[in-house]
Parts: sequence; C-alpha cells; structure tokens
Amino acid sequence: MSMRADTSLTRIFGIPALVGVVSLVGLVSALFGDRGWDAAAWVGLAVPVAAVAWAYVCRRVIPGSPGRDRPSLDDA
Amino acid sequence: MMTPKAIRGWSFVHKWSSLACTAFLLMLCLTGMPLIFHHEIEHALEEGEWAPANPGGPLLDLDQVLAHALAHRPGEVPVFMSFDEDRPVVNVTTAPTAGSAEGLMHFASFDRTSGDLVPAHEGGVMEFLLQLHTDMFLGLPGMLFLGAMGLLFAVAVVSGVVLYAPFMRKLGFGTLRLAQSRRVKWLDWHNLLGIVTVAWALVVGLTGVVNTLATPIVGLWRADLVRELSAERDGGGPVAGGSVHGAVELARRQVPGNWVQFVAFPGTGYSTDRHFAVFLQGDTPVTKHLITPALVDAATGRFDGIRPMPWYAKALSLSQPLHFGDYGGLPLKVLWALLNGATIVVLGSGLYLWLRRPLAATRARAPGPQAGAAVAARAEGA
Repeated sequence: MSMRADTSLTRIFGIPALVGVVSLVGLVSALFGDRGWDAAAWVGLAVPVAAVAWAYVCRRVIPGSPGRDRPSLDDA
Repeated sequence: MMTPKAIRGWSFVHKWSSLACTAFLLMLCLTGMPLIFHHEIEHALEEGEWAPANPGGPLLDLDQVLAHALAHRPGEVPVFMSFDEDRPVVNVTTAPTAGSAEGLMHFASFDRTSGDLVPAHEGGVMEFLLQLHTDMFLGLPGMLFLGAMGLLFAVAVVSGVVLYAPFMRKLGFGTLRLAQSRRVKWLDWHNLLGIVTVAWALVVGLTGVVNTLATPIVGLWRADLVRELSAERDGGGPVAGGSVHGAVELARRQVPGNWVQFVAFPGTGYSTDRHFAVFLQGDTPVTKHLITPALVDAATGRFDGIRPMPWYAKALSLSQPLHFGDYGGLPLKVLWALLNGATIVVLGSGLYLWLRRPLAATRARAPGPQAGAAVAARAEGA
C-alpha cells in the first residue's frame, strides 16, 4: 500500500476511530464503579451523539451558501 | 485503495447480511427502546406503590421470614430464598420436596419488616416486550435464532465499515448533503450514523449474542457445579431445619464486600444434601454480575468454602450489563436510547437505499458532481 493510500485511510477513518475508541472507553468505564466512572461513561458515549450534532450543524451542505457547496473542506 | 472487485465483494456481504437481519434487528431495536427504561416504566405503571409495613423498622431475621413463608404453604419445604435490592423484601420459593421439578415450585414475596405477603408483580406489557425481544415466544430455538441474527448484524457492521472507505474517499467526515436527492441524503445519514455507532452497536450486538446462549451456559455451569458438589453428598437425604439466617451471615462474614443474591436450600439442584449454597454477588457494577456460591454446612453451621464461577459463566454475566445499558445511571440509559435510535435510522435508511437502488442503466450515466456518490452508487447496486 502506498503512502498516499495510508494518508487517505487516516483521513477517512481518523475521526471515526477516535469516536470508536472513546465510546469503548465509556462503555467499559461504568462497569468499574459509580460516580466518576459513570461520568466517564456519559462523556465517552456522548461523543458519538455529539459528532452527529456537530455534523448536522457544521457539515450540512446547504445550496446557495458559498463555501458550503464543496463538502470535503479538508480534502482540497 | 480497494479494487472494484473488492468493493463488489464487500457490497455483496454487506447487502445480504443486512437484508437477512434487518427485520429482526428493527424488532429488537424497537422493543429494546422501552426495555432500556423498564425500571422507570414499571415504577411509573405500579398502581399504589407498595410500602413496607414498618418503614425503617427492625428487620425480621431470615429464619422468621421463612417461618411466615412456610405457614402460607403447609406441607412444603423451602427451595430458594432471594432478596430484592431496593426494598426490604425476601422472596421464598417452596415446593413439595427439595428436589421437585420447576413446575411444582411456588414463589412468594414477604415484607421483611412484618412478615406479611407482598402482592406479586404484574408482568404486563414490559414482560411481553421482554419475551418478544428475547425469544419471540419461541423458547430456546427463538433465542438461538436471534443470536444468529445478531451475528449477521455484526457482519453487516464490519462490512459497512469496510465500504465506508470508498464511499467517503472524496467526502469529509460528517458531510450531510441534505439538499441533494433523497438517496444521497439518506446515504449520508446512513454513513454518518453508521460509522459513529460502530463501537456501541458491536458491543451491544455481540453481548446480545452471548446472552442468547444464557440457557446452555447456565445449564453447563449448573451441571458442572452439581457434578463437583455430588462428591460431597452423603446420600442421607437433605438436611432440614438448619438456620438459613446463620448461613447467610456466615457467608457474608467469610466473603467480605458481597451482597447475597439468593440461597439454595439443602437438596436442591444448586446445593448439596447437607449444604446451604449462598450465592454472593459483588457490590461494584462489574462484580455485581459475578456470582460466587459459598457452601455452609446446614447441620453444623460450618463454612465449607466457595466455588468461583467458571470463565464461560463470567463471560455471560459481564455481557448482561453491556447489553442492557443499566449500569451507569439514567444518563447512560438516555445515551443508550439515542444510540439505539441512531441504529434504527441506519437500519431504515439501509433498507431504503436498497429498495431505491439505481438500476444498471441509470448507474452508468449517473457520475454526478461527487465522485464519492458514483462509487457509492456502484458499490450499492453491485
């Protein structure tokens, strides 16, 4: 696999991998205790939910809004 | 990057694994939604909440509670005793003999502050949903079938992750082209909601699969336990009349930091003829599900050691909270519900994308402005 393919995979899967790892940490942490552990679980599993909210607010492609019609901003 | 052939292969896997399980997964997600909040819902539905006769008053000892229970069932012997977590209630199972079949057993709950009978819980709608969710009223075959659907779901999730790469080659994370065609719009929702819920969906899906194996796992554990304990049976028939209160207190002293989940009386399938088996659970969310039987000699009151769970029973026990989402308070349940909702949208949009898949002819002339959509269309229609 070439360097280019590697960086492209990192670009595609970077954020999803981060969301996945944080979710897993959250899923496991509440098993270990209450209070702080529970709070860590809430934060961890709030991350995928927040990612969706962020995408809906910031990554929506709205017609007629300049700069938004090209969705892959970090792709240029 | 993936070759077109690889994309076609993964599309095939994603399409068929999804199609085979979508209907059942939708049923599981929809029935699962209220089940996340079953505790809260049952609490709200309870008519005239039950209260102990002497709230805060002294608790009867377990031998006294047992005497009340046996007075209600003359001629029967105790089989199991279990304890409610959030109220001073002791549940006593009795039967004509200690070795009676399950169908002959009688279950009743008693107020530990007075010895009065506590009215039985009405199963109602939550019981119905749970049964539908667990085995679709088909017993073990239904459970195992839903387990197989869970495995297919895991295959669909993994193949979906692989296909995410060609779909997103030219798109930034989270792109939602909501103004474009319905298909593109739902494709973007499918990809976004699918990819951010991968970890949660795999954990809940695979722990659900483990839970479908509960009947054989518990059966195996019990068989192992009985085989191990049968060496200790002396064949003189079950010892009757030992103090269950003393046995529970002794087990709790010997194994600190534990709650008692239930007690099996001598001569039942979960104990020996001469031992109380006191099933202890830990007091943290992770050890709460790990059950350790402690044996107490019913005749002499001597502590005869513990029998830790085998690994396969531990795996089942730890799968339960991770599937139910009931181990981190109400906020965790709310997040569970939101992620479950996202999964419902992923399932629904996946079905929509398949139903509205482009025909071969339209596919050839539909590259459109976004190359990603073209790859997507090709992969989807394969």
